[in-house]
Amino acid sequence: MSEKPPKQPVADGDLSEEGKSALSRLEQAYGAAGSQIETQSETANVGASVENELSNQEPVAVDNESLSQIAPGDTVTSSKSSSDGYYEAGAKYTVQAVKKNQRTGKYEFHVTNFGTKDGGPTKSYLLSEDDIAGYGQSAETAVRATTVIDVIDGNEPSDTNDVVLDGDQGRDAVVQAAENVVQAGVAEADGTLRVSRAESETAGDTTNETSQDSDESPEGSVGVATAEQGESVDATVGGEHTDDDDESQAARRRTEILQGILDENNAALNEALTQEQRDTLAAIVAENNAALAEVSPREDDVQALAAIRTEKLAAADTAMNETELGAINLLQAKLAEYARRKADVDTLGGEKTKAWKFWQAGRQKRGEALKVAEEALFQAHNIYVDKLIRKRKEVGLYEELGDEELMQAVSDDAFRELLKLDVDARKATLETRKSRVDNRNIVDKALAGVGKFLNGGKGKGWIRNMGSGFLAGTGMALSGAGWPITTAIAAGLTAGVRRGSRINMLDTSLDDTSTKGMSEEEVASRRAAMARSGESLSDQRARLQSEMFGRARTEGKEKFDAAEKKANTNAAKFGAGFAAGNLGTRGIDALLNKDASASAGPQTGGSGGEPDLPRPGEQPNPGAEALPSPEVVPDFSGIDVGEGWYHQLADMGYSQDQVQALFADHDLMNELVNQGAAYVDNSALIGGYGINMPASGHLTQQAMDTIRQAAASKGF
Amino acid sequence: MFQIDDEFLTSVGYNVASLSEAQKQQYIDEFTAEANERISERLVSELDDQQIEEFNEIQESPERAKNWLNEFHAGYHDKEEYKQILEGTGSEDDAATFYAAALWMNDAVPKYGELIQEELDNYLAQLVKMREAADAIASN
Repeated sequence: MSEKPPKQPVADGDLSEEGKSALSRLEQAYGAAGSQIETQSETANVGASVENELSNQEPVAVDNESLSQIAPGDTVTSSKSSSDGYYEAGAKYTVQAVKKNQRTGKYEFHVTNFGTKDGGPTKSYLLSEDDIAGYGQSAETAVRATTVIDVIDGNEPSDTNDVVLDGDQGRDAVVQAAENVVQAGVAEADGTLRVSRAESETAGDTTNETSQDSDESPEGSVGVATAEQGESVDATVGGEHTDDDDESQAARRRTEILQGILDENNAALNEALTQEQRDTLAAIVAENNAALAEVSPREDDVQALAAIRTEKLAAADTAMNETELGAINLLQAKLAEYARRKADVDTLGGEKTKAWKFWQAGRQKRGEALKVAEEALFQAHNIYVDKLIRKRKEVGLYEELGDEELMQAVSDDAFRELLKLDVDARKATLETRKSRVDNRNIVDKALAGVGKFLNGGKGKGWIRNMGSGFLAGTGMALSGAGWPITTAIAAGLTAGVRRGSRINMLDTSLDDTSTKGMSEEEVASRRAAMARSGESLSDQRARLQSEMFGRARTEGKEKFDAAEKKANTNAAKFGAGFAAGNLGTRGIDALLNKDASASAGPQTGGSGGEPDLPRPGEQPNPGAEALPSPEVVPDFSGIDVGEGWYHQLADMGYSQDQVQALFADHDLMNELVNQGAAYVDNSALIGGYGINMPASGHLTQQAMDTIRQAAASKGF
Repeated sequence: MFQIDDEFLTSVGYNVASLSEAQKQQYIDEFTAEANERISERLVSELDDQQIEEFNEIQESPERAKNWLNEFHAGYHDKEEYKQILEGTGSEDDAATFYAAALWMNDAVPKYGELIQEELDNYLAQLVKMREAADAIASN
């Protein structure tokens, strides 16, 4: 944290009578420290924030300290058992409220999780300080205590002893209110609304003085006001009162007082201050604002983290290229192979009329070859992703994440790799198919035209406005199913999906309760506090995420479980409707070892019929990269005359034996490859070459001339 | 009304709350483009050369589109759906082009909406499967 300028106190005596009156009333509301809080237009938020803050405290491990520091949210340990059995020695209880008994001078602690005995109190109970063996201060309380010192004093953060502590909730109110004032920007740059009572009382160091207050009077200036309020709400052992009501009343009282002096206070304080004082306070305000400005807005935070992530991703990619090139090349090879197999099976516009019969022939065998190629592709991809995730872990991409966040992040990254594979496979297949038609331009134009049509043509934006009522609602459905985009996709989504269904329902359920994660205001407040603590950006985010997820998990567990059960039921209904048959479903089924048919391929014969694929997270099979291509021994016996090459060459008058001899002529086949009439394909059904069949359904004249020359040289 | 939006991202397993706006928009754009391309390929695969040429002509030429409408859908100006399109586009050329393309597609590929539905169902199912695979990887 940057060094801050020394404060220049404002003497109390410089205030006008009106100013003093206002300060007095502020003190009445918040004690001396409260007078440091500037009046604000959003005073109602003070009470609300106090309520929120008090409801979100979490116990932590016991750590013995002095009793004066015990605060709501802390965990206390009982030193003895009560004679009536309501509390037990060594048991830990969560403190809901701390009171100073004015008569006995002893602290009393309301605990909320006290008592399990039948007939005993269930809501709250008091333990006296004599009953307390120790306590653990909650992390949240510690953060707030540190924060208020910084905000109020404009000095470096101090420890909790510097806060006027009496353990009363009033302290929390002051703390939160101070944060609200500063964060709300109530303080003006000219300092007109900034007066520090602590500063006005002494020219010395405010922190020291506050500490002295604490030493001299356990109640302190804060404690005076809040203890008074506390007296009115407390302190019947085992009583029926609720502290929530008491706190609300106290908060309302503070709010009313502050609201009442809002206008006059502003004017009075402005009048009371000299220009020098204003300048001094302006410097303090500027310093505070500068400190707050160091806290980035959330979007900036996200962008900064995104930049860090990008760097780490690049580092991982570099490492992959340097050390795992084999896996990358294997994946590319399998992808290209898959594209060829897929193109063999599929048809495309332009092929349909002229080469349709040809492409229909031998579809079953092409389909089998495609299946093998799919599995080889996914095996290669699995190896690649496994290595990639490892590299990303090595460069620290996931190092700041908790278990749940880590799962989501790795899943997202793996999901993204699968998406990329899917898109790459589709595009590679399309390219292969286009390379086999006479005029690929017409296909490109057709794809562009249909894409334009699906987007709504030039008036793209209006489609959305039309919505699902378009055409279908008029009684004339162009497609027979209403507007294709809106209706079709909506129907798909309505069905829900397995994982997404669960997540969505959980989110909905949690949003409907008060047990969801931290509010944006809470997050902002917490971040401001943590920023001052000197935590790194990444640490802040990690802690915030942990708190947000943790709270939702803990407090919403019951609803979480119920929602999950319901979601799983829905998912089960929907899951049965999925059909396999394309790259994603079939290949991934094989990856997940769910698809029995995936083991049927000729190259996947693991034991027990299971696919011989590496499991996620397993060490890649050392021999996997040497996995042969899904080679299929040429089997001429099952090929009809109309099949591919044979069809073509039979039309040219050659017998099957002659065709086999021609295929064995590598010079001939290489020449055909060079002409674009054939392509090398070790897995091809015939002779290790595939045919690039033109849309006309016939080889080019050049290819036929080449074949005839080769045949003539063989005496055919 | 369907949109590829936060709900869609949630459906395919993203924790939307943890994504930045830029990330969300990137993903939405990518899913939209991919869905569109898949459907385009599927529709084009149903057409032959002559059909492709005619469809492109209609798409590229408002005059050609109007002529086609007049020839096969005379009186289209009075159709309520055409009026809606016209209102949405604000341009007679754009409206006629789109309207002709839609009607033409319906003639060439009957029930093409169902075909699109099927393609999108497959895509969404595939995404879910992918997420399952990704989850499996993450859990190891």
